[in-house]
Amino acid sequence: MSERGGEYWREVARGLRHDGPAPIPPDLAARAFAAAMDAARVREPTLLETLVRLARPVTAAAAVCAVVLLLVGLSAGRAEGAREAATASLYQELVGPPSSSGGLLLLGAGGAR
Amino acid sequence: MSASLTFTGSIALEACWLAVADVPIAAPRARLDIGRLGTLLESARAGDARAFRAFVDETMPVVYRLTLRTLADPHESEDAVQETYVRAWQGLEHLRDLKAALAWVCRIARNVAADRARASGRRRRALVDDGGRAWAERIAGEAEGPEELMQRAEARALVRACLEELPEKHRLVLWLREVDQLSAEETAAALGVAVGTVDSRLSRARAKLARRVRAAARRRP
Repeated sequence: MSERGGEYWREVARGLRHDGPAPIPPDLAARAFAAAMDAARVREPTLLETLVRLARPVTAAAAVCAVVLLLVGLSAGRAEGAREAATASLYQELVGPPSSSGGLLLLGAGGAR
Repeated sequence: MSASLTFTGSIALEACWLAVADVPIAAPRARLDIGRLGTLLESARAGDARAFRAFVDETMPVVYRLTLRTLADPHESEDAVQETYVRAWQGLEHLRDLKAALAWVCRIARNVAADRARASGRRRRALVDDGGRAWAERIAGEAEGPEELMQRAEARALVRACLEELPEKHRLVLWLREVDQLSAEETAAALGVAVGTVDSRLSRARAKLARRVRAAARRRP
């Protein structure tokens, strides 16, 4: 063999490359594509998921209603407070500053008259 | 054997590689039209599944060989290829440079292969495909003596063993360029480097392999 030298090694390298490129499994592209499509496919939602999805807008609407009602309530309460304050102010103007018993006495006297 | 494997320098093996490059062993593979890949992905991004299928058909050989040479396991590589295209389809929106479509999918493949290699925790083993057997059978059919056949098989095993001992970046470039016959552009995309880097790595890898083969040949009885 020694006398063949380079030729021997040419054979070795040819053997190395003789296998050629790694063979591609024939259906691998189809499988890879199918796997990608399967992973992306939107599956059918379960009953629970459907209910949750339907309930979501209802819940949101209910939350908005609750906030509106709260604001209306607060606003009404504030108006009521203002009315009471105005009444008290008018009362003070007509009757004078409140005292422990004066007002009641005056009211009592008016009633007696 | 030892006498026949004694070299005076790396010239002999270099000449050997060059000689092999001249030997038409298999029909040249159709080169990948890298420019078309971006167009396919653009259509795929718009929801055209057929364009994505065409993209898979075009790029899969490069992706498969990259994962095969990284993982050294055909079955594991097939799974890695499938996972690569699942991730690619899901991540189409993240692709910014359509011209770098091949590099993009190869980057995904490298990440998938690295994840799988880590997860399996196995030591990389040399890939022994049945190409060796096919080669041996072919040689046997050429009416050569069993001694010569055995010597060739031994020498081939020696070169493969030395190839497997190379650092990954050199081993991969030899596998992809020399054995799998990818173009410089395809290899560059597969490895995520510039074409010039592929050439310089290939040159260094050949020299390293030649040195290792010489050293291993001298050690043999």
